[in-house]
Amino acid sequence: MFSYYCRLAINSIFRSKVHSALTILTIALGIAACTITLTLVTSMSANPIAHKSAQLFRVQLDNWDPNQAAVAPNLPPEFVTWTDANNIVQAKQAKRQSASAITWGMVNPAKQGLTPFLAVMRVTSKDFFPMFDVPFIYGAGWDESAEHNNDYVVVLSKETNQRVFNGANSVGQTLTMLGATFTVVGVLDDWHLSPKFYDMSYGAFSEPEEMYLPLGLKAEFELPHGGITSCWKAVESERYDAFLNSECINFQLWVELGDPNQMSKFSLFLTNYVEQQKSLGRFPRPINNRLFNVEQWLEYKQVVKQDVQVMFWLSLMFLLVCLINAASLLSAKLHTKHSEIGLRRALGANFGQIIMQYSLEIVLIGFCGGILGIFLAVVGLHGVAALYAGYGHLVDLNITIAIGVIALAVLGTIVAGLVPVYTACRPVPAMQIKQ
Amino acid sequence: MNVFLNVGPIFRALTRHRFSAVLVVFQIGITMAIITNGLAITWDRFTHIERHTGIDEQYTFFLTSSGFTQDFNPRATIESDLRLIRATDGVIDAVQTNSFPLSDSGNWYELQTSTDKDAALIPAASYKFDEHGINTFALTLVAGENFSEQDTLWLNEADSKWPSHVLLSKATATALYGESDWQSAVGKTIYVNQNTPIVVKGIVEQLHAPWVEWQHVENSIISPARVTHNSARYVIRTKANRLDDLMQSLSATLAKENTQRVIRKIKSIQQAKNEIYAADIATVSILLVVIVVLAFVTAMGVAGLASFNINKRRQQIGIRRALGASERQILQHFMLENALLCAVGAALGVLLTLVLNIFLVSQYALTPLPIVYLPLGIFTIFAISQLAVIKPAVRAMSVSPAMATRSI
Repeated sequence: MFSYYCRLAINSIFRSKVHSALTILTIALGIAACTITLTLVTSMSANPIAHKSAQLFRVQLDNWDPNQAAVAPNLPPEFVTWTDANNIVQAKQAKRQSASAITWGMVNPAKQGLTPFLAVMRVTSKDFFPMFDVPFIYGAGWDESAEHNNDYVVVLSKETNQRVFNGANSVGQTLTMLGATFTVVGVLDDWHLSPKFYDMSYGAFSEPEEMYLPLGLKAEFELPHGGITSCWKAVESERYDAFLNSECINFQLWVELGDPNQMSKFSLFLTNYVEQQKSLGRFPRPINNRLFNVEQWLEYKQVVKQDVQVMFWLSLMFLLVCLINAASLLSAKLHTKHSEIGLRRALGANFGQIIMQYSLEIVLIGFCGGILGIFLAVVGLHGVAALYAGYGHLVDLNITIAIGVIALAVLGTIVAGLVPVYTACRPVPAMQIKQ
Repeated sequence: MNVFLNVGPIFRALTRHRFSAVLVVFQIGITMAIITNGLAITWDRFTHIERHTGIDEQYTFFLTSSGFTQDFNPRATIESDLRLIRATDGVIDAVQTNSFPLSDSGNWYELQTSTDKDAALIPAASYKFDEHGINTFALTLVAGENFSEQDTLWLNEADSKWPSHVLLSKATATALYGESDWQSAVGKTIYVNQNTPIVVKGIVEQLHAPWVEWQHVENSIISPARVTHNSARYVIRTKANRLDDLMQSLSATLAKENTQRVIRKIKSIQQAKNEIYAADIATVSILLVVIVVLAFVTAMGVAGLASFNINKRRQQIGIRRALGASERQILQHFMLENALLCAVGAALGVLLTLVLNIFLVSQYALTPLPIVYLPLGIFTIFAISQLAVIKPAVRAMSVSPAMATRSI
């Protein structure tokens, strides 16, 4: 019986081709719009390190101007100074800790027979790699003694290793850069967290850096200050170490804390640290330390662009318009079927069977609309990807959303078809045959 | 005969098909809410992107020269590079600068009219370039005069010296001396970072800060300095239509001229602008596509409903024609029926537009909808739905009076 209804439904869809195509297209457009914005919203609000989100904390200290908060109304700055970055990392009061900043410098791989290029680098602490679960293909991060002695060691990204060493295992090889000779200790696998929560100073979806060096080398090579630098007090002189010793902020400070107990111990340590710095004449504002975990940090930074959220709401309304449109089209179509329905009722089909048959037709239309919608969305997302160039993997459609929207399409069409189907099937058979 | 006399019967006819009428009314209302709010956001973004920065954005490009050898001489390189670039055919002028509008990187200082503790601090983005800057950026000097060659200082990174004269943007002068007195800034001494005195030599009409979203984007200060760095940024303005070929040929020439450095980040101001505003440009494009597609869907819906109604009433139309109604009257009937639906839809639309706008404004940092968008939205929705109904109505018009005698 079911297959008979299926055949009837398909026949009916094909009988009025233009009408069915219009209905399917209408549903597909609405579904595509929703899928595109939903994909943008979900990938922007993704938590790229969900399994550790509650253990990783962004450290914020308030070393700012006594007369003006760093972030209105009364929030501490988002970055820390060179002094605080080093003090807190060296104190080792958390399970793991890392301070980092973006910088750049010339790499001169003459030995490898390549022309010099300018590389974007991250100076950071050794804990950076285990903390953020950074994957390696060769080697590993540097060790305690390399960090302590400011050894000239470097970790390369996969692309950089491809570019300089042709993708071979380069651990132990040397590379001329910043006018010195560095030893490669590790090569990363593909690693692009999105949003790049640990450092969003060049945007939440910016590319990861090309190489990683120990933090201490920043001072030794007087590397430029990448990312965001901001000062509330004029720097005493233009000398490089004057900047490092100033109240200028530039460093991203993160700690990993295993359990709540460790967290309370660490925040006590921070309080004591600021107290001690106050006695040295720093930190003129009241104590205002903040520990945000990854989730809270992403929320605070409003990573999901407001425009995208607005577009999401508009696309939901768009879908509503499309479903209403589909409902009108279905209602118009079923109106022409009155005599057919009457005939079938008169021949013995009961009310439920008729409803069943037309519902099946509607489900089929909704399903086709959903599939076509996904297809349109994939095309649309390519267009959107071109518009959001530089936003990386923002626009990959995920399978949950795809299945979800197909279900939504079917459900929406059923809702849209409910009243038309009911009205079409309700009247008494005799009246309809008479028409 | 007054067409509006038909309103009563048409309205009563509509109430006989409540379900489809209600659907169309809602469709029109929601469509209007989306289109009106979407247009407002689009226009808002568009005007934001198209703000003037004060410079010639069309025919200007920039590049960076980064020295990497031990014996690289930054100052000699800058001098010979600038000589070469300025002498190149098709180049209007060029400077070496620390920053430029739309570059998104740079620094700012706080300016005061006196060293008093309570004198207001005016933030201003800092630009450092020589006397060719005015010509390179196509700035308009509105008071005072440009630097002379003697004013320009060579500084190295560790130098905190300030030149004796600076130029200000008009907005900065206004912030310091007030709306009516901005011209009086010329010749006056102002203070940088609460201690360094400098004299204002001139005022330029407009020069944006490097960061487009900065709240003081109009404020900038130009000091006649060339900072030597291993990396130097050059900004180059070309004659009309020479931009693309000079971007290529000049960077190749510079790279050949001195092999102790690399030439990188070659981009036009227009490209930089597109990158900076990528998200806004994406919003505008997506919204425009949504508006067009939505207009299309709704037009289809309206047309579909109208032709369905017409098909159902072919016999009635025939009877009216047989009783003496002209073709025009039939056309008017359906146009008027559509206008009636549309009027109810638009009334609902005004309500929904406002509700949606209040919701968006309360949730997101959007500006409330300017009132002119309501009539604009109503007009748009009427235009869409009347255009959509023309074709089915013309078909209705051609129903022959003989139809009255046939049964379906």
